[in-house]
Amino acid sequence: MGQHLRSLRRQRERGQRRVTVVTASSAAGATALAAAFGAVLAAGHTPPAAPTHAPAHASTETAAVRPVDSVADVTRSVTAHHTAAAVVPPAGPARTPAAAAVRVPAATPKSMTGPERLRAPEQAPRAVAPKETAQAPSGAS
Amino acid sequence: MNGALTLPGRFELTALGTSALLLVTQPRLLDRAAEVLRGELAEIDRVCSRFRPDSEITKLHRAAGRTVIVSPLLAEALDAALRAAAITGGLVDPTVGAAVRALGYDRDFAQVRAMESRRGAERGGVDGRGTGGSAPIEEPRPAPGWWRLHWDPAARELLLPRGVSLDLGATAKALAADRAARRAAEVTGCGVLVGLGGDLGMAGAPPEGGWRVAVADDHRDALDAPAQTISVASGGLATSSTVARAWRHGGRRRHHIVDPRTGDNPAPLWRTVSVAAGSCLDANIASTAAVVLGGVAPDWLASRGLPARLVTETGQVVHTAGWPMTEEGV
Repeated sequence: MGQHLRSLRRQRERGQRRVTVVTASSAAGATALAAAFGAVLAAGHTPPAAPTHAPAHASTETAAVRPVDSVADVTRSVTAHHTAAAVVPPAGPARTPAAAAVRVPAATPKSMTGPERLRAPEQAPRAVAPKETAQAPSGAS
Repeated sequence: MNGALTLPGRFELTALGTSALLLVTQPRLLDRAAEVLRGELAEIDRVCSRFRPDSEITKLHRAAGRTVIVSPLLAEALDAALRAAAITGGLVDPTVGAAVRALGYDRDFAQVRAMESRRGAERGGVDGRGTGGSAPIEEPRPAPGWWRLHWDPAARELLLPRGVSLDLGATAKALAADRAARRAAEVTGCGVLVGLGGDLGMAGAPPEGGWRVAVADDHRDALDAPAQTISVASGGLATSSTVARAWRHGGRRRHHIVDPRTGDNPAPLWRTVSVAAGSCLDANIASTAAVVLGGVAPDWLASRGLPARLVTETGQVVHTAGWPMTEEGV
């Protein structure tokens, strides 16, 4: 789990860098990028590596960092998505957004039916004289 | 009491890889009850047999990874198996399919024994009692865990994750005994006992004095050489044992009871555990769990009010919760 959180944190930092780059020219562009970034994460894909250097038109205005909050929200939703995915088989196909929308039966612990305790007999067995002929055998098969 | 006793109607057949017994308190109704029993056994085999390529559970395994709607009977069997897992904390877990196969129980038990005998002959005439068995040794496979199944009992929808293999054997057999006894009692209106490989389900009014049952390690020996004879009025009685359904695999003696936590046979302590409960299913769950539990099993059973008779590998007998203390030949 710790490794998973560190990975998410790294992804968020990459997102922050990309948001900074884009919002230098357009705040609307930053919002679009954040949404696209969230969609990529929800699809379970690793986002492409952040550029190692800023393009020539990049700005360092701190006001442009504001859309990062929306990235943080995306991170929380991604965490929830991965928690839910933990109960599906790892051997199964990669979960795409479309696959995630497929209705899956509730987890078994919530849907167990029947008495929650083993039922004791109404009467304990009684000993019978050995000379009486038994009617049924009980033993392993 | 002996003078008033009348022998019940009796019918036997082979089914589910073992012997089936039907007793009814009114012999004239035996045929009708037998018809019910045959039908129930055929249905449970068609649905739950992991050895039949056309069974519903085999098809379910082929559909792993997808949500499927199962038949009402498989839904009941799944409910029973998952309830067993839940109330035993996973000691009796239906996801042991791969573990049981890894131990060599990968086909009908008669075929397992036949193959063992052939191997023994090839290696110098030893069979299951000797050192025969040249099958490659597989590492034990712990059960993936019953909680991995996504099961919606209301919609009868199941998603069996890929790589998870089910074995409903024990609980399905006990469920079949309960179902057949209950249904036959409803149809005939008389008292019915159904025994499947020594697991007994009872329904309707019992004979005077209750159903008399001979208890032994192996149900095939019970009538001739019972360790104890008891009477039971209702509910169910089941015996789990490490001695009857046993074979050699990879040079080691194996049996059909698996500890889901390790995928291996439990550490040897109890060779036979018989339990009386409110149903054959509950008795079977408890007797299987007791073998897996080992040393704490008597306390576990007693705290649940379940009368039981436990026999150690060396033949020492322990009783719990009102199981009669008398032992024949003691």
